[in-house]
Amino acid sequence: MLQEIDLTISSGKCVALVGPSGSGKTTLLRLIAGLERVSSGTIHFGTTEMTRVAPNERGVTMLFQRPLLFPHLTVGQNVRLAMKKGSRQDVNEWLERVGLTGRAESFVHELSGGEQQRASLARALASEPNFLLLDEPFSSLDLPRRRELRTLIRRLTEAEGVTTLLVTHDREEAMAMADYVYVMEQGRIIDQGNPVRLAETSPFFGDGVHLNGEWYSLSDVKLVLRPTKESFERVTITKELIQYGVRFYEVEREAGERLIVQTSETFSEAMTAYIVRKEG
Amino acid sequence: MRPTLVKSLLIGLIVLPLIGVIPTTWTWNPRLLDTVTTTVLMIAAVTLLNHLVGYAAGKAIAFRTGRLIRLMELLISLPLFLPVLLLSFGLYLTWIRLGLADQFLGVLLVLLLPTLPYTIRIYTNGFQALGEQMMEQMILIQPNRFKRFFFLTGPMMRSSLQSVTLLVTVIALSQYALVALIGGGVVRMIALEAFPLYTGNSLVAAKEATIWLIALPFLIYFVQLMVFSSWVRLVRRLLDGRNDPARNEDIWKEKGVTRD
Repeated sequence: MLQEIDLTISSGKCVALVGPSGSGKTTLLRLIAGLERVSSGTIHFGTTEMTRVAPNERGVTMLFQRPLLFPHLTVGQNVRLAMKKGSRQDVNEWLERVGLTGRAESFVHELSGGEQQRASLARALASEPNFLLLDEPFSSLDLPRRRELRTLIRRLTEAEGVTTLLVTHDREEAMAMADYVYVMEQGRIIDQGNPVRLAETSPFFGDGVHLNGEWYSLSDVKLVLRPTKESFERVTITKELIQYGVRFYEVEREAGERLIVQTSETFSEAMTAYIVRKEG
Repeated sequence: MRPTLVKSLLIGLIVLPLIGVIPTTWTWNPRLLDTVTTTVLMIAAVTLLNHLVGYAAGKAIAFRTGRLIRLMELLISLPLFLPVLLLSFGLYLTWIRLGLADQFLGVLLVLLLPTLPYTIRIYTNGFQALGEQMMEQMILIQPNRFKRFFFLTGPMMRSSLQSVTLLVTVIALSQYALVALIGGGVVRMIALEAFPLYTGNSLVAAKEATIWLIALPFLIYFVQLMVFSSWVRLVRRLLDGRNDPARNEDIWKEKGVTRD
């Protein structure tokens, strides 16, 4: 349940909602989209109250974790379906903008995961929305594709003057895209500000874990084979990542969420490991 | 199991018995034609009702939670566990009181008993496979629910729609006891017609009735294949013709607005 949420988003800007799983980020996004009912409080877009307005009349479009393209239609038809009647935009122009030139006649299954997400972006923007809602749209992509799509979204939304609200649990993603960040936990906004300031001052900004009731940022925890401390979280190793000579592992939590945690030990895939607090 | 054994079993159990029912002469028995018409109308009505009720119920079960939904799921599953004939005895007495016994409507409603649980199950699985986010994406892209069904949900649920139509046809066609009990011999469907013909001496008419019994599901299968492929083709054609930039440009020019 969301409580005491007071969120102001300037027109044409990109705002990120960050926080751990279950903090209410996606619920808030769905309330803004009109996909969930508000039990109390109001939602305003500019001076217009939107609380009881149907989703399609809000001028909102949403990009989900999966591209959610319609498989019985071609890429061009997917985009055309979202366009407003009498729009002066051309499907091919949109596809060109997202780097899918000449793919209008392709079917969805003929595109790669990254291409599908770009087609989904073209479809979202072709509806000429006032508000673009992004529900972790990069989570199914690999790192290079993630960065590519991030840059593309930022460039296109700036060019079209579309206000963007990004939901993520990735600190780097929020830093790269957002003009302003709201940090959420347990249904409340617990911190907010410029992403650079938050990165320096807020221990809650970005991924983190709860150990013995205390919240720790990922920079304050490590991965071990055998926990010697009383509080730990059991995870499963999914991938090894070495960055600037430092060893990281992508791990899967019991709820299915994935985190990247630093370690000095070596693990292999599918092994059980434990997240513990760093010394000192 | 070896493929040759499977083939032999299929031939032995399905194809061979059919050879015996191929009629050598065809009489276009008028009573039988009348029964075929009633059967086709009944199947069309039962299928339509199944789609209408099953679609809404399947969607609710797939995406909503709560005690009421679970109770509804249990209630509609009951005919899968209880013998339908047992329920139909109770219904028969009610139908007599309501004046629905021996009526087309009475048989139509009772045929929902053995078909609706499967229909709802098929739709629930179809909606679950589509996923809630996909449904939400559709709402955001195509707000009008009829257009949404025509352009998106219908073609994407095509396999569920087809399965329901075919399953309902086959189940409804096979109901001898239910139709006999509720229809009281006044509402005649093809299975009801065929049985006494076989037990009597009208073997030619019995074979004709069997051919209709076999032909109807095939006919419905091919008709629905054509309907669904035409549907998807029409959707694509309409979308290709929509928002033609050249045509839109002309409209804007007529309004005196130039492109920036």
